[in-house]
Amino acid sequence: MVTLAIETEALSKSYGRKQAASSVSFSVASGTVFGLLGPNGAGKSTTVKMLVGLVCPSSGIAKVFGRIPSRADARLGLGYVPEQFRFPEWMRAHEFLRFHAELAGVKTFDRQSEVTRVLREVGLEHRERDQLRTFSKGMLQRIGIAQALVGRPQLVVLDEPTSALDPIGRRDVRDLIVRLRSDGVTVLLNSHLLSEVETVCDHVAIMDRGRIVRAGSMADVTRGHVEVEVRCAGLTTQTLSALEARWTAVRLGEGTGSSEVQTFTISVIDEYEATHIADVLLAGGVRLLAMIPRRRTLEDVFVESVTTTDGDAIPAVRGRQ
Amino acid sequence: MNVLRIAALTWDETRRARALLAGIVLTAIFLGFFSWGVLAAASQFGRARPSPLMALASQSNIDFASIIWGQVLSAGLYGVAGIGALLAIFLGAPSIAREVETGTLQLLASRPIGRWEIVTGKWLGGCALLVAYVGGSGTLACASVWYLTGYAPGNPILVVGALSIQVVVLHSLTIATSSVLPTITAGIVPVILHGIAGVAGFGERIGTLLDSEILKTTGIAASLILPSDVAWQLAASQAQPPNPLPALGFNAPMGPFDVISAPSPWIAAYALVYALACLGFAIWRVNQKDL
Repeated sequence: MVTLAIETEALSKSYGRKQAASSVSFSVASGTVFGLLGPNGAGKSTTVKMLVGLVCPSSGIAKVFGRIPSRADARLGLGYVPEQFRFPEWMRAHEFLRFHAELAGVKTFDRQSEVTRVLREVGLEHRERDQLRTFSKGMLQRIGIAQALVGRPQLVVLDEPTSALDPIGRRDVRDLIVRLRSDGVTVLLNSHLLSEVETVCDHVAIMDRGRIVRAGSMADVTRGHVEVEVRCAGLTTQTLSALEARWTAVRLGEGTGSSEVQTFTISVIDEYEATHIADVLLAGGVRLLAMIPRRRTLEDVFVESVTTTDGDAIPAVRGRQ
Repeated sequence: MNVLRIAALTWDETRRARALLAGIVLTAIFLGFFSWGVLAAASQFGRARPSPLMALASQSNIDFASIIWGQVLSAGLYGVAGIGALLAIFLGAPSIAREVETGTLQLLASRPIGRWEIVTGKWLGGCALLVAYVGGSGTLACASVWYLTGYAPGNPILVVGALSIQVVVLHSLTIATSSVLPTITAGIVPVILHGIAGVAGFGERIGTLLDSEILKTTGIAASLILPSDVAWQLAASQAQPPNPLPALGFNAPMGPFDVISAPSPWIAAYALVYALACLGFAIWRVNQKDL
């Protein structure tokens, strides 16, 4: 039986007339990495805050390992990196982590080794005695991740954990998430970096304007339409009509300089169906030069999902199209 | 246990931010000036030509020196109480509001710790610091006057205790405002309320002098709304010898820091209940807060 680390049912939060999260329902199996995606203001951080007990839901239920997160004991196995973080900069790195180890219930004799372990995890073991005010933004983000790891939590919630990190730092965090999963830790990752989410997450949910608009395993979410780019020579009007009769989404590409060679893309359900394109072309006497299937990325799914009710992409996404 | 951890963190933060050091150094300078003034007054007092007032006091078996040194000690304690009041507000105003604004509180509140523990820990840490401050500086002021003039209040512990109540009340009120208002506003509100309470306290004393019921009632009402000035009056009444003038038929104060009618000891109990009510409000408000 699958143990659920996170379970939400019709979780909603409103601030006056503004609905920050609306009927959000999803579950995260223990030991998996779950990605929560969405544009700015989609309600991701509000949802995350309800899961770590910082925000009280207006209605609905949130459970972390079967417990209501507003209860202190429910947060015993929880590590959290907030999106907007600022640490007491007068503290030294080891003091800060030791204090959080105390709060996390780490026994007195284990605290120093725990501090050393988490500093090593984030690559800051050489800065143990330094004051946090001397740390760069990226280093502070690493310290934030380190504090989330003290006490070996069963669930780690990372709200935009790599926003201040350089590419190497981002890769380190991805590797860390993979290591956590292999140790059986559940990770909830809230990130704008879709490539990051695509690389490490087992399941994703895409939020838009307070609602989950798509959710499922990474394979399920990106499954479906495959874009096939076709290069051919001798494409006749009849063959093109035959293609358009079967697949509506035929988009002709730009010419290649030779009037003989044509490129076009067709959207098909899966790679198997793509073989039928070749059948139609060959039956029409067209010389097939190349067929390149391109699976949809998470970014494609995200852009499709995050649209306004009248079908327009929201501004943040529209700018990328 | 978590309450003590947060209280220790508050101590540590104040110490590391050098606020404690600055407070100790400036208070040492203040007490140095005060002691120098007491020394100058003591040497002047011994050489001064007896005034008609001193002669009258001598005829009436009144210890004039005690009255003078009681007033001098009250002046020093007034300074200690004033600095303590400002420290109580400055320490309390950012304690919750700033931590919410910067997101520091989010990190604490996501730990397996009750929000009541965070608020109580901050309150306890702040109160302990302030009580240590007024306790230490109040005791030094008393010791200085005693060493230089030989005058000591009847019960110095009550003097320091009343000063401590004042800072605890103000700090608790500020923690309460900090749970509702932004940092600057959270500090401004108690400063103004404390000012109003102080003026109302003067009004009450003038009302006693003039036998004006309106002024007296206003002063009492202000004491109930914010019992910070009345705690100071309690400290001042304990720092001075009993006022002999009413016995001579004059309902007048002995000096600028005199309290004509000493507040009831019950006001101390009321002030402590008031402080706990402020703490309770802050806990309730932070529990309701979305961070």
